Amino acid sequence: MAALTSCFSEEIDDSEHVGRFITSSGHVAKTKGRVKYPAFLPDKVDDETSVFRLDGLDERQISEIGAKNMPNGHFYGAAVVKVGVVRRETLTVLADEPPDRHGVFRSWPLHDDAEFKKARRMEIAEAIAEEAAFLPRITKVS
Amino acid sequence: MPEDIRTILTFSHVALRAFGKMSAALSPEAGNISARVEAVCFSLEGIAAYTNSRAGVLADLDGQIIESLSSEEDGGEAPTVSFNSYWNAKEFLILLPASIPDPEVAIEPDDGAISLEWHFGYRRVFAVSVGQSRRIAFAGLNGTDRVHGVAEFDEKQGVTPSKVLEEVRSIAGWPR
Repeated sequence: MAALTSCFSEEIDDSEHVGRFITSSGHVAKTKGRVKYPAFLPDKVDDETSVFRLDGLDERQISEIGAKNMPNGHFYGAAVVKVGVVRRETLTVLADEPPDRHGVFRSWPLHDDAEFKKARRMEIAEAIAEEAAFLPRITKVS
Repeated sequence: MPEDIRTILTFSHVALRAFGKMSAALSPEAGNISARVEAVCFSLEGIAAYTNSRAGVLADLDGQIIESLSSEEDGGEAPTVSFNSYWNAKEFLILLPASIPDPEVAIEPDDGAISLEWHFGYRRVFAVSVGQSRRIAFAGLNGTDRVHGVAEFDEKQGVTPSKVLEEVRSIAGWPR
């Protein structure tokens, strides 16, 4: 099994946790800290959802990864989910370094009808978001 | 920024009220017109009151748009929200029946469409994605049941797509 620059295995196990860094305040419910489905929709440019592998990290280290890799270091926290949950929704989860620990959700469904494609993807993203937990950003470290 | 429909309604209402009062003082025919104008004013007041009842979610929508514009200026990854998407979402919210609670607003990262989501509990969620076109994508989870599809939204008809209302009520557990 190949090793990556981060010394992680290239193969991601279903039991691993990955985090999607939240850069829009609207992607988390205000009162309950619940992750909303748009957090997991793929990005426009590459049609994949960018995530980071979080196992073995504490909250401070997770925040450091977000600060280092998000544009202008701006993010609100991470939406954390088990890889097995994502694969149950027929998406593929692959390591994609660099940067270290980076991974992606691929194989989002396609359709000629743009709105129908969106609807199908929303359903998948909703199912993932329901199993996700929100980890707020730690801004100050004692 | 687009003109605010609440402002339009307010100004229309004030103008019609003034016209009605002036007409009533002139002749019986004018009095008849005045009564009709009063009826129109009554309707406008109802719409304005209803629009105000959605003030919170409309403010959230504006807040999300401002945040996405700020993020774009700062070199962030947030997509651009088009004027049409913004306007369509606003009309959709204003036309929601009073029996439907406010949805939560978010900007979708793939195309800048506006997500309006109702969450009634674990795996009891329904959302619409309002973009530039009049075709609205929707999807929901209701326990182990799942639904997705597309509904037509025509603001000229002045109603929310019936399929959307059916699904919201079903997932909320209300009678249809």
